[in-house]
Order: sequence, then structure tokens, then C-alpha cells
Amino acid sequence: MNESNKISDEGKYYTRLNLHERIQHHITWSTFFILAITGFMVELPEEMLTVFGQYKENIFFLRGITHRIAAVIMILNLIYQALYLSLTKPGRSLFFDMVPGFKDAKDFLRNMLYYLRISNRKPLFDRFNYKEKMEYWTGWIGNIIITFTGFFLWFEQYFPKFFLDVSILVHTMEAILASSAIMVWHFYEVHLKPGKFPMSRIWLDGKISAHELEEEHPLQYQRIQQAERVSVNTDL
Amino acid sequence: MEKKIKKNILSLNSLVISAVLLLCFFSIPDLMAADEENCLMCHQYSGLGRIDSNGVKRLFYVDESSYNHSVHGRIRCKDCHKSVEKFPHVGIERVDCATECHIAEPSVDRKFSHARMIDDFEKSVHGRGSEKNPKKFPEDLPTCTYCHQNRILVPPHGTSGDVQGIAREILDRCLGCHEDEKWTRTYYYHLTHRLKQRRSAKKMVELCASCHEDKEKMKRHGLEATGTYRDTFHWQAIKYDNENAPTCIDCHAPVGYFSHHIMPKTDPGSAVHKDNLVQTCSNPFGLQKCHPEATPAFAQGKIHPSGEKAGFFDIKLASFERQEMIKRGELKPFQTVLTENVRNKLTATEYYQAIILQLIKYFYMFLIGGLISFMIMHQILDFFSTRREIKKGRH
Repeated sequence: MNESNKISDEGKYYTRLNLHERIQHHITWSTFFILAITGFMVELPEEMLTVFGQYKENIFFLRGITHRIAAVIMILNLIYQALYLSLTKPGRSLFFDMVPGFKDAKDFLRNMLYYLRISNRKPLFDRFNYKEKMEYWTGWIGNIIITFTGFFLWFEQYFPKFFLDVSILVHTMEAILASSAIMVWHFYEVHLKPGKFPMSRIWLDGKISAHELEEEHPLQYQRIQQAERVSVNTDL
Repeated sequence: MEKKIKKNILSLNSLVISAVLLLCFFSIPDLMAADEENCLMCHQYSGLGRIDSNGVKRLFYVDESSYNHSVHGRIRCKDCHKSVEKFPHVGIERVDCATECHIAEPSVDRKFSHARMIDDFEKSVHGRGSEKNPKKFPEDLPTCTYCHQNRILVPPHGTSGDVQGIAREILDRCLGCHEDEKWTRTYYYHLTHRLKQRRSAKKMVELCASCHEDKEKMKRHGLEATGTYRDTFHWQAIKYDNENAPTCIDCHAPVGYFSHHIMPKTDPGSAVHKDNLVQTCSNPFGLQKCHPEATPAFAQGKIHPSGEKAGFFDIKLASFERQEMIKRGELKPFQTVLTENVRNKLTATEYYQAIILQLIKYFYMFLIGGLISFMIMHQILDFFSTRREIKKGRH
């Protein structure tokens, strides 16, 4: 790369999440928290419930209502996301960038070799790396499973008992899976990772610094640089 | 050591008895006005008790005001404790709840007795069976007092204060016509105490579970211990003190059935017989219409089977229990936790359903275990790698 041709990117920021995506993320995390808390409340051991004292019965009632309201908001958010992905230009670009490919498998193996210090070369990630793709798509699958099983349990009288037995098992297991995955996978990536603590700012203003982009998504960074260079050159 | 204690207690007892007798001479006659046979002369002292030959501590104290406010408050002691003839009491038999007492049953003008109730109970699944065909292990079966703990027998310290409620304004309405306040109060209690369940929902479950969760005891009777009621959503609501959520009684003896007459589920007179399940789930005659739109497909299968449930806090425990069963040779690894006994009682569909549930649970347990440990390992590697990079100053 010709050094003189490189555009200085000191203090330069790029948009990683646009407003739509940020709103979707805010709805998702807030409803997820409410759903996880109100959901796991039924799994609490009896002895722990003494902290609620005399309000236990009311709390149980409100718990059920809150869980359902949050669930409906989350499902509407899923529909919003599906529409955004299919109808808008940035949505479609997000979808196509998110599609997993053979490169992700290669990236994973290369990354493992890099982590284990067998190889010195870090794989070059595009806009979304394999971690983000995995999280995104397992999120969709889990969301759909938990939505359907949740509806079966909500309108229980229309379904056979065995269906409900399976639903309650899958619903709870899926919730355990999702919550622990979020805690281990996502919280580490955006909160606890060295250099990120206490949190990455992308979820608040959607901005990523050019430096960070070059470090974490080099292929996308190169593409942007290319495009900017072309536009600079044509301007001249 | 035990003998020594007994000896001490015996000497202590004789001391107490002599002290009590001495005190009795000076006691005020007014105090025992309600007690014609003057039993309270001795039994009013809260220290009165002994340890019987089985080593069980027995308390003979009777709190007068509690007794007067109890359902039996108008009945003389000797009406029930018939074998008490002389002092000191010898050859005392247990009180038979079927005893006729001097109170007349107002609706038919006959002597009052619980015999009718007991007859019904003996025919039920909890009964002792007929004389020709008695049940095995009668000592496991509940007696009247196992469930109906007579309040006056409960020692005055350390008990929950579940005193019958009395609404003064309602009692006053009764007193508008009825002159004698004591009589009115008694009949007020007589009605109101039947309007409400005395036990809280949680206590009710505890009562039934005290036998039905005992695996040894249930095995003796060829029954399956109820291990999973506390896994149902019904229990989750009761755990949060929701008094409308169903306890054992609400499904096994709902409105239209009788709790003294619980029948085995194979009997067509049982609320949980497969033909009666739709009505039991919809509960159309109860105050709480539970699942009004219940269909036969909804109201089938086992509510609290020995089946599978997703667990967060109990995964470790469940697997521990499973390991124990494998060790004892009752279970092969990866086999469902259905004992031979239970498996024989299941229909083919129920059996395969249980297996499917088990497989789903295994699938998720492996998925969660595998995926999360992969993630943890991945992130630990990432952590050290990122730290190395920062040290090198690449970031």
C-alpha cells in the first residue's frame, strides 16, 4: 500500500450500527433481561422466596403479566427485524454480510491456531466475524423456538398435554442455553474483553473508531479505504 | 444413657405430679366451671407429660380457652376418652373418632358420631381395606388425627398461630336474635371454620407429601412416589403463596368429590380417572374455574410423572440421584428414570412420550454443556491472546 496515498484516520469514526439496528438491539436486550428474570423466578427454590415477604402472591401475578408483555414486545421486535432485513437497503446488506460461508470455518481454525500460538498470523475478518455470525443466527433460532413454545404454554388449553410437556422442557432449556450463552459469549466480547471494559460504545452511538475497525474487521476497513480513495481521486 | 434420662424424667414426673396434686387442692373452683368432670384440675398445667415406652414425648396439657374455642368445645372429655375410669388412669385406649357422643345431630335427631365419615374413608384408597382382605402395612396408612391435628393437642409454644378468625361485625348480626353469646359463638365457628381451608396451600401439599414423597413407603404399597409435583407449574404458583393454585386435594378431590373418599385412579369414581379428567381440569363447579376450555387432549397424561423437567438449580441433584441409581444397578446409563413398576403401568404411548422427553432433555443437556464449555474455553484463549497483543502494543 502506498503510504502517501493513505488517508489519515486519526479521530475518525465509522457507523457500525445504524439507528434502526440500535433500536432493535435496545429492545432486544431490555426485553431479554425482563424475560430472563421473570422466567427464572419460577425456578427459584422455595427458601429464596422469603425475601419477597408478604408480597409473594402479587409478585407472582405481576411476574406472569410482565413476562407476557415483554414476550410480545420481543416478538414484535423480531417482526421489525425481519422487515428491516428484507425491505431496507442497509438491512439487506446486513443480511448478506451475515450469511455464514466457508471463510468462517477457515477463520475459526486459523484463529484457534493463532490463540494457541502455533501460527503468528491473525485471520482477517470481514464486517462480521464467525463469532458474531454464530451469535446472530443462534439468536434467531433460539428466539423462534422459544416464541413458539411460549405461545403453546400461554394458550395451553388448545394443545395436547404431551405437547405442553415438551414445550415447558424446551422453553426452559432454551432459556438456560440463551442466558448462559449471552453471559459467556456476548458479555465477554463487548464488556469484559481487555481493551473493551467496561463496555464497547457501539451499542450507544453505533460508532466504531477507524483504528478499532482496522484491528477487528480489516477486510471491511480496506474496502472502505478503497472506496474513499477512489472518491478522493475522482474529486481531484 | 437413655435409661438414665428416663429415670431422671420418671423422678421428675413423680415430683411434678405430686406438686400438681398439691396445687389442685388450692385451685379456684371458678376456673373449671365448663369442665364438669374436673379433668382440667390436673390437665391445665402445661408441664404435664411423660415419655412413653416407645420413647415418644407425650404432652397431656389442655389449654382451656383453646379447647373451648375448638370444634369439640362443647363436648365433655369423657365422651371421647371413654376408657378413663379412675385416677391414676390405667389401661387407656386411643380415642375412637367413631364414638357416639351425647350431642344430638340436629338434622336427624340421632346421637352425633363421625362414623359415617369414617365408613366413607375406610372405603377410599387410604382405608384399611376389608376384614377379609386387609391392606399390607396398615401402620403406613393415615388415621383421622394424621390430617386433622386437633388444635388442643398442640403444645402452646412454637406453633403457628392459626387461630380461627372471627369477624365481630358478623357475629353481632347473629347476636341480634340469639341471646346466649357463648352458644352463638360456637355455632358461628361451626359454620365459618368450614368456609375456609384451615391449612394453607403449602401446608396441604406438605401434608400429602409427608407420605407420598416417601419412596420406601410408596414402594411397599406398589405406588410411585410423587417426586415431580414440585416440578409442575401448579407448585410454582403455590410456592409464591397463590391460594388459588391447585394443591393435591384440588385435583384428587375437587368439587363434587370428597376428600375422605379419594379413590385410586383406576376407579371410575376417582377425579383423576381418565374419563373424569376433563371435568377435573375445567373444574366447572368450583369457585375457581381452572382450565374452562380443557379438551380431552389437554386433560390427559400425567401431571406429576417421574418424568423429566428442565432444571437450573436441580441439574446437579438429578444427575447425582441418577448416578446413585446406576451404582445400585437400578438403572443403566442413559436409561430413562422409570422404574420397572412404573413402566409396567404406562401405556405404550405414555412410555414413548416419556422417552422422547428424556431424549430432549439429554439433547439440551449435552448442547448446553458442550456449547457453553466450548464458549468458555474460546473466550479464555481470546483473553490471553488479547492480553498478549496489548503487551506487544499492537492495540
